[in-house]
Amino acid sequence: MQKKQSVNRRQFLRMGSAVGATAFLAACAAPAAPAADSGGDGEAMAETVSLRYQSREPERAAGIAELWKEFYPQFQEANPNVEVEFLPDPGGANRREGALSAMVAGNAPDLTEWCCSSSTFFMQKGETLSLQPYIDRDAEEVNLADYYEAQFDPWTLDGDIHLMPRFTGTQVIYFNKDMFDEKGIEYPSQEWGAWNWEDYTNLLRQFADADAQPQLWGTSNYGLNANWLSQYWIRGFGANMVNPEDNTHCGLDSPEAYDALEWMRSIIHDEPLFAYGADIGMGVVELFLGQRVALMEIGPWNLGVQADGATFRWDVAPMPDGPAGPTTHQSVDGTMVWDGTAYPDESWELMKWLTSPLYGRLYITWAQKQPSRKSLLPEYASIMRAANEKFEDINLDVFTDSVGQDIGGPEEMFAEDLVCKNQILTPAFDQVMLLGEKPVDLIVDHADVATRFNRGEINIEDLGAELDKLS
Amino acid sequence: MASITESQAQRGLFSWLRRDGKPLRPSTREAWYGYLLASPWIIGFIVFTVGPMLASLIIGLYRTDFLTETTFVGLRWYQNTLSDSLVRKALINTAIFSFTVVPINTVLALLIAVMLNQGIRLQSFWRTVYYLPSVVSGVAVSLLWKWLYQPDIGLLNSILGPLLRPFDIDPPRWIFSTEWALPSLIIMAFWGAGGAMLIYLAGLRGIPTSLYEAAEIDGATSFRRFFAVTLPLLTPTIFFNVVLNIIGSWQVFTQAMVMTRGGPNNATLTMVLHIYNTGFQNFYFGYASAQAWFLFIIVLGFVVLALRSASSWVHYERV
Repeated sequence: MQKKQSVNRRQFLRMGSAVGATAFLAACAAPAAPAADSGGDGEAMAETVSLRYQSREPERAAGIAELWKEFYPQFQEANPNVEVEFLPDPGGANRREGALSAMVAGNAPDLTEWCCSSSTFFMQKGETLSLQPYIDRDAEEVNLADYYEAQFDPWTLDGDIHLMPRFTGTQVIYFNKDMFDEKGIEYPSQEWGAWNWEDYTNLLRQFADADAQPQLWGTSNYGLNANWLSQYWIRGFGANMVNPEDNTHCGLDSPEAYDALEWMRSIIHDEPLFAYGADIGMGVVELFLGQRVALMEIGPWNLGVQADGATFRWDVAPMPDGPAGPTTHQSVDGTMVWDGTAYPDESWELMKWLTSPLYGRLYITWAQKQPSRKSLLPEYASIMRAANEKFEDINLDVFTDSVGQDIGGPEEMFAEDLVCKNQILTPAFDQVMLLGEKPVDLIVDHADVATRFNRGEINIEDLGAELDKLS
Repeated sequence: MASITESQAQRGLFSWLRRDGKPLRPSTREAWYGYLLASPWIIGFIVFTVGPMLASLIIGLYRTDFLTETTFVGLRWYQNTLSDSLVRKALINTAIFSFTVVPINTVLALLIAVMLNQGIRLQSFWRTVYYLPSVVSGVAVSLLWKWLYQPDIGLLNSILGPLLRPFDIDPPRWIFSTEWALPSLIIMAFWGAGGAMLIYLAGLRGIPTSLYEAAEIDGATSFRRFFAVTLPLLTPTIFFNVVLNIIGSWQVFTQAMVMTRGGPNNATLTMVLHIYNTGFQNFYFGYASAQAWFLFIIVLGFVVLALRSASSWVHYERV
């Protein structure tokens, strides 16, 4: 009779340990070699190519997912050999770090959308593919004339364009009609160039009440700090934070910039009319929705939030002119092709589709945001109103008129943009604008340090000591 | 698949380590099993902690953003870390935070634990209430406190305002002020005392009741019992909590990152936030690595100091 043998607990544990260790080592082993690369030659073009496309749409991620469902089948029908994996916005504030890691690891998405300084940052770091040869080749289809004049300024390196826009967000004034009516004050003009910063200041005075509990201000934005939020006012006064001719020079040392900064400081601290620091306390949108400010400076990305959250009647108006003329911010959201992509041709094909009028229309519908192509601007208001009846009484042409008239510009970027803005200028703006403890001269002094840092005259580790001298 | 024979089972999994195929000595076999079972953690520690630490030591010798340039700079970053006034500012802020939070949190957590150990009603409920902040994510806690600290509509000033304004005193502007921003983060840190409290509670439960009975027979008051019995026998737990608190407080990051980004005017710039800014905002990874090593040595120094001092104040019960 054969002896029956069962595995006891100890033996099971031994086997389990051995299998676990083997599996771990197998997992640590180098991955199998990928299938033959299909990029490049003509024969390979017939094979299916897989692209990854990283979307950025924090406010309207769900809408973009719906957009993709409608857009992608049309793209694939025209490009049966290109498969695209859509990567939704992951959220969070640290996308740049994640993208950097993926680039260093050689695993970045083929196309990535960026906002603000990140787009220029990756171009300056050589991670973006120059699109200029493709743009030149497909000039008619791309039609650069269909974008506003300064659109490509932050994305141009040595004359070559590196990113293409999908969204142009114009900074405007939102105002609370009920609060205006209550005080019997006339609404701001709906035409660009029809009012100026002095009219604006006088208007704010009529709403601000420092003694009220809780306090009321006239207006606010995310915070007048060392970024685009103060840049549009500085441009309105005839200066630039970053010299357009020389991105190593901080232009805050000019008399015009001084006047702009002094006006900003005064409306925050002397009266006060502008609720500063909203971004680190109560957000500007909450201030406006809570009727603590009668006006706010913000872009079209807020339209959906505003329509959903407002319990009062509201509308939008153009930004007031500065002493030097009309001014506003036009956002810098664009899409890059990663320089390390194995499929630059296919990526460019997808890029063309993502910046096409077809996509632009879908973008208005699903994301309820302002497209970049001028040719789509006349359709913007009607598509928005069809998508959401709450926009029926809102003068959406205010946004698009500025683009049509080439008013305003995108965020200005230094050669060493992140250090200059975050480490050198922000502490000065904090002391002058947020805390009201120092005069505008401090910002001018910091501007000089920014210029010298950009030009390599100050090392990163000596920055603190340089700034200490100014305190 | 071959079945496991009785002799194989007796010889054990590691019998192949001996050339003669004889079974290993039980103690040796035991040790090997120990290593095998601990291996997931050991491998994880080497791959994800020791490896990156060594890598950062080397990265600290380079000027690199990992994208455009990698230039060997030798010990430049290590030499210049201390002379960088921003690093010094971050160090001072972190030291103030640590030297305030560690002692106060230790005493506070101990007090709460002792109170909850008195057999009060709804003990489990109160224990949960005090421990709850410790299980909430740091980001969520920071957002909550950011709201509480809002100078105009925040809860704190809604209470303080009516109390102080009649005396012509404005309530603090909390994280909007260079004077109050760091104290705001410190006050907020006390909210997390519940984590240490739970460990103290466990320590208090481990003190033999016979010692209290003996002290009571000797006529010791409750005050005397606390200082003669409770406190000495709790010192291993206090020591454990103090060491963890020192390490944690020098690594303070989330609050500063979420609530103030180090501002205003670097008033809440902590060392880890500065390292993060240097590496992931300004993309000077070599310099960030050097700063990280600098911080590591400081924390190590304090921990070693705590360990060295332990023999003079930590009492282990001899069994």
